[in-house]
Amino acid sequence: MPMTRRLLALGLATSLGACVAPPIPTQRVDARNDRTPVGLGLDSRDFEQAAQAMVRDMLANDRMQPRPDGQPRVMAISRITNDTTLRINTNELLQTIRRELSNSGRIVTTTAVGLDGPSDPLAAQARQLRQSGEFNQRTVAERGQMVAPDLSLSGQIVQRTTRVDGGMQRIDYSFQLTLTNIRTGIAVWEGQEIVSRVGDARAVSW
Amino acid sequence: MKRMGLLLLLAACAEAQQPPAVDPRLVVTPVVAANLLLSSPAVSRLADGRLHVVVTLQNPQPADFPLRVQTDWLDATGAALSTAASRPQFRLLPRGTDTTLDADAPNTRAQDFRMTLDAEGN
Repeated sequence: MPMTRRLLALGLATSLGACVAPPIPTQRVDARNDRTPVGLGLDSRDFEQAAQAMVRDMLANDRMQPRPDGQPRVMAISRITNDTTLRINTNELLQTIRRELSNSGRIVTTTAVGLDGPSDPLAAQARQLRQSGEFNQRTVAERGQMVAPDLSLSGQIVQRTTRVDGGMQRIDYSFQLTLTNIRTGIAVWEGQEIVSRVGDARAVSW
Repeated sequence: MKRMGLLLLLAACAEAQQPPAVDPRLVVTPVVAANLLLSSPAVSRLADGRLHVVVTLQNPQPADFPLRVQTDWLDATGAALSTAASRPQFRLLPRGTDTTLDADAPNTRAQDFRMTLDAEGN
């Protein structure tokens, strides 16, 4: 009897083990050779692609020339609105744009001026060291050293979802950016990149 | 005499099978070489001194061809520059038509390039 029970338990354990799916091994992804599947949402490849295309378009624009003294234009980041169902940190898009523009030598970004205050408040805060006798005043930033921005970058990410034939849905994500000349208020460059997906209508993108 | 004829025949075959000369800056996978016709890259400089590359592809096949293009930009020492411009791009080449690929160097430090063409999902 105990032998029969033991056999039954062994059989049960074996069959339960067969029901459990084998673990999917975790793999490292090479960002430069990323061939992993895509989902309905946006991933880093989409932000890179959109940023790359828009930077290329910006640099091809004749009005994006350096200042007359040869120094690069200074850009401040204004409002970038996320009008999608996804939770997006707009820095995913902006960081690539800022880096590529900076590397081009044509446009640099100020972190001392921003819509909701400076993105790096330390540059302003470090000026308070002027009153401190503990610091060599020749190493403290003097008045009038900061460079005001020439350009303001604003924009939005928009999502449009539509049902298409065959039980599918199409999602278009539109990256829209505008560079405005702060002095004149005129948009000197406007760009749009669209990333589209088609997938199962029952799937959700967020 | 027979041996001589055979050798000549073999030599002729070998010559006929040689692939067309491809610019060494274009890296083409066998599946792309078998399906697409490529022009030599036309390289010029933009007004701001950056390199500009244009390659024309012809897809003579009866089906669209999903292409993956990656352009590495190299500095004067031959090292690849770290830039978003070297991320892969995906193009669907329509059947029976020509497509122009073009790429701009991210800055003037880029002195050369290497463009890799592969089938998407390969």
